[in-house]
Amino acid sequence: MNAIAVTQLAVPFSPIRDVSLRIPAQSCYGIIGASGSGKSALLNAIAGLHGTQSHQIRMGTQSVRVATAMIGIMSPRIQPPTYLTVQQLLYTQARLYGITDDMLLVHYQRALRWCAIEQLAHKYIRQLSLFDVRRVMLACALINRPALLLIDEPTVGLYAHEQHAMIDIIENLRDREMTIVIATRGDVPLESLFDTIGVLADGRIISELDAQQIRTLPRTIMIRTNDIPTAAFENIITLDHGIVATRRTIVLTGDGVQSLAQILQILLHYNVHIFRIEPRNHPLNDLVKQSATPQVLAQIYPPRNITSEIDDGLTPFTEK
Amino acid sequence: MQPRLRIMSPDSTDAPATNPHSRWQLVRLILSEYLQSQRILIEWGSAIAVPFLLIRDSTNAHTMMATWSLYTILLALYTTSVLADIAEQPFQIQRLLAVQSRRTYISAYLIAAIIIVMSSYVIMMTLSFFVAPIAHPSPMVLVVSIPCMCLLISVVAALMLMLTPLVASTQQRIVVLLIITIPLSWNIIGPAVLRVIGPNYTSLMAGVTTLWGILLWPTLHLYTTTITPKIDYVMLAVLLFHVVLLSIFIRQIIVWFNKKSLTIA
Repeated sequence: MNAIAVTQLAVPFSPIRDVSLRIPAQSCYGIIGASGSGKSALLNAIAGLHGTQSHQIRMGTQSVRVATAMIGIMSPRIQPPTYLTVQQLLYTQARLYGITDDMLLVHYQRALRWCAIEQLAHKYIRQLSLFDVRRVMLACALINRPALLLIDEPTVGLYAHEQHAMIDIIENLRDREMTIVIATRGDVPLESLFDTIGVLADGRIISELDAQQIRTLPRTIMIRTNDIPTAAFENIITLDHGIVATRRTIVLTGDGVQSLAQILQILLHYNVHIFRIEPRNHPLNDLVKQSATPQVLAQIYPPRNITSEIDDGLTPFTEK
Repeated sequence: MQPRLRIMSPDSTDAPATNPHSRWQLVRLILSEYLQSQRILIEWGSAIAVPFLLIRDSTNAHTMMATWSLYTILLALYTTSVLADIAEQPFQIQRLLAVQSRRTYISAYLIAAIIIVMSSYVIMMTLSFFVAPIAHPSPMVLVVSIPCMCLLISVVAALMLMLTPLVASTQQRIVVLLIITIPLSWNIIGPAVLRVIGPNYTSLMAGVTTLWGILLWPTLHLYTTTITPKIDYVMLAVLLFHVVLLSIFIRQIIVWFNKKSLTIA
């Protein structure tokens, strides 16, 4: 049975033009897309926050708009009041959900335990690190034990060891009978979290990978480009030990795979043309390919050259 | 085995999907956070300062009550805009998911704004009694004036909320502003419009002027009533007009806010 069913969703003033997706109950669904592809707008819409489009999103058999109390949402944009303690914050949130005093402690302790923040309970928000605040906001989203948990960029801005800890927390939530939807640029170890990945580009879900396809994703990624400027090259090789780069090829291994989105951003910033990402079934490959318009391709590769590039086995594409 | 879908069958540890007391819990939460964040110091600080700065030399009740009314109107505009700004923050919108109803959410902020302004009004009124006891109005005048002041604060706060980006789109805000500013400046606009459209439409313009006047008169009269309260049929009619106006404003706020797209992620 589907926990969430989205039908031909178009959100005004956002890139979302025609999104249809089905998310099975108690599964973990990843929405992957480049910056500005509309991941956050899609999460907002699923949370019932878009005024007129909510009828196109159903949660179980209900419109999402009447079931918002069953949705928890965590985003780096959410900044809690700094003058509250973690306990005060979670208690007030729980009371808003209508949790009675006799059940308050049960919900509170469970949220602390699930997010591994028992030791932070009596600290003020202003005393916490970014990682701690992120976990507290996750606890806030979990206080009502929601049926649907929406997470936007859970690891953005965190150190590598904190990213792994955050992924462990989310992984543990998968056993808690809730449906989880995570929007990310693709820089987290996908195979450990997702049952399905939807690649968002051009205002729609352009492809979906199931768990088996995700498991076959390699731990090594190769990016083929044209000449990389020295400044970009230096930026890239200092990102992680698992990155090896030549002037026209970048190879990511081990933890270096997590820097993929960051590297793509650097390449785009320096107007480096990305020929392809190997393996070819990598979701970001579709993303980059789909977002290249014929006009952009024609500008970069004059018509007579496109054929020769394709003949060479190097299908050219670039971001808009 | 088909996994159980919790949306349809919440277990015993789940909170109920709806919470009938959430509006008042949210009001209490907004007020307590307004206190804890020390934003209230601006309202209460100014409510303490006004009697010492502006009312100390008052010699009659009329001047004192005019100062109270003007101050309270300005404070209602300020407090409502601050609360509307807070209500738009992603963290607060996360609470909207909890209370589940946009009507509950927006009305809680309106009620909180009215309570904050009323508390400042009470502080100022009490201090004025000590600062300028000679000019203080009689208890009977106050009893009549206070409900009028409550209504005035509510109307001003609701109007301000309608003009914030939280509730209305840019076009809607422009329309509301035009509805307010055109009648207020009709004595300037009216003759100019008449010069453009020609003398043949004099009677039409007179009708429009009368219509604006009908709308404006009770609007301005409520302010007068808070300064020189006098129980008569006119005052009751003005109060009734404003109760209707307030309910129209609140209904419009809810309709617009229901259609508003919000951002949390």
